[in-house]
Amino acid sequence: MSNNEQKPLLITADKLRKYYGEVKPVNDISLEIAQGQVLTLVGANGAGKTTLLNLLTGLIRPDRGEIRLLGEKITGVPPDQRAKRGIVKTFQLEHVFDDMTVFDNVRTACFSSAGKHYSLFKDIEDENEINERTGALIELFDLTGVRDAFVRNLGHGYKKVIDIAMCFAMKPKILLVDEPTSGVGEEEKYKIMDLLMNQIEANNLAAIIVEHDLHLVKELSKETIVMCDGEFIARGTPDHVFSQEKVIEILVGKGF
Amino acid sequence: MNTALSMTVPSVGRRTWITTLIFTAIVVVLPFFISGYQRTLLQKGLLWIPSVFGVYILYSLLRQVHFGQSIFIGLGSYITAFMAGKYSVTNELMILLPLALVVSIVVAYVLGIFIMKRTGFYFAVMGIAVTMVFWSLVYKARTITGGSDGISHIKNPSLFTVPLSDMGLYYFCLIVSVGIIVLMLRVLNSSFSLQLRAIAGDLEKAESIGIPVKRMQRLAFTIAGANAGITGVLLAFSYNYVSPSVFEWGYGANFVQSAIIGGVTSFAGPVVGAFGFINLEFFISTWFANLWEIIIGLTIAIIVVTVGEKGVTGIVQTLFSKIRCK
Repeated sequence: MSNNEQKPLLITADKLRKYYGEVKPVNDISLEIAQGQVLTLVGANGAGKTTLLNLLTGLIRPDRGEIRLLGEKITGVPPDQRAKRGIVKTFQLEHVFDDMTVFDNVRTACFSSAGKHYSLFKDIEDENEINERTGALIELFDLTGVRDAFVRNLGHGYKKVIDIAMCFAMKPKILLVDEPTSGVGEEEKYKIMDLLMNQIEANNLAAIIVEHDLHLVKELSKETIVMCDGEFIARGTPDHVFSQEKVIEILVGKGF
Repeated sequence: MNTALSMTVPSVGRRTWITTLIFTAIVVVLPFFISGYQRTLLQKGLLWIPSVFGVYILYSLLRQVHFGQSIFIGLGSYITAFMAGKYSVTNELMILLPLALVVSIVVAYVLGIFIMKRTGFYFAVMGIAVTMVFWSLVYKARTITGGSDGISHIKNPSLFTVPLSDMGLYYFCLIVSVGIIVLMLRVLNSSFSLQLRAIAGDLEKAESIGIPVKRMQRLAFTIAGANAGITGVLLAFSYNYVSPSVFEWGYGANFVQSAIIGGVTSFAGPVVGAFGFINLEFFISTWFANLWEIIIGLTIAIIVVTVGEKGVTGIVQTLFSKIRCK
């Protein structure tokens, strides 16, 4: 928590609420994240973690509450513009462009990040700056071997890395990482996390990481939040949080 | 994704430009060896290309089936009919083409706001529905549009005040058509197209990496409409007559059928499709007058079942590669 006081606030969410009828995935949640602060978010399925992330990215609109980025209100700002301002999310399930090569996947994000959406007549191969940046990212994320492969032919682990590489292409300020290791093998899991954490650290990014593997959670961050039925029920260091009885009850009781 | 439907968009390379050059050379010299009637067919084929390209862009990049090209062809045609026919304001191409272009762009952009709210099946149906509204308006506003009789006696066009002969109009259509082919090839090879493919591939992801999905979709729709508006002006001058049938959705469907015949996996698709459709229409209606619908229906069914999205260009490419392998 000490980080919070030293570094400027990046995101503040004030009393965010999102209801779907009787279901209350996000129930008046307030949250502050400072630059470079890495949080992990745990909770049973249906606790509202993904909904919270989607509220922050703008993929869904809150019923109530306010979100600010560097002090500026962004509650009504659409997701594409939030991404450009630095709030970027990786997806829980595979969200990559299957019918494109790895290079084109990353290149798409680089074009978008540079705000080049409407160069209708310029040959894509002549966009040297973008192509160079794409090449550098491909190298950075260790994708050189599959650079020209079609993503649909690649395994789950690769797709996760491509998704992450695209997020970094957006030059994020905060990365919202939704279960980065779901569905990947044990060995790949650590490789992906290493890659991710190294880049988060190297770029001094803030991050919220949703993760089910509690061992991993302990390694990833100094601070973790437990979510249940749309509310934060515990917050603090992983060791402290996971020793609380109500947390154990919820995580174990709900088949976590 | 179903592999039969998954598609790889080729990149425009030297081969594409050489093919375009050869195609241009052929259509430049062909009128000297064919009859006047055959030349009008060729001209129709050339004029269809921009509209088919519109359908091609929306399908190959955005995965949307666009039945609404007839709206913009109709707008272009009726603007021409009013200005160079009914009200005799001007027959100058350099006024009418930009005018039709602006009107098509504005209408396409506004319609795009509504039509592009939905994708897939609903986009296709919206296209048909809006087309029918336009058709109905034109059909019923008899005093202005001539209703079902249409507007005839459209003057021949002039270019920079010089009246164009039939042959002159043919070459003007050729220049416009090839110009649009070149522009569209450039568009297909741009970062704009890459991002449209991303939108079609995964809309949520596209949005999450900052792509302004709605605006880009609308722009693609507007490009398709602009192409069709130009087609409309030149078609009206080619026949010196327009009727509300250009607004019928079935007419717009012709361009979708052309795109299917040509194939959407190759840039040559729209060109092959436009000429393929028009030639089929001509030969079938000459030889088997009453069987036109049956034969075109069967042709499309056979193409879809056997080669799917590859169309005629796909068949030719496969044959070529087989010959090469031997």
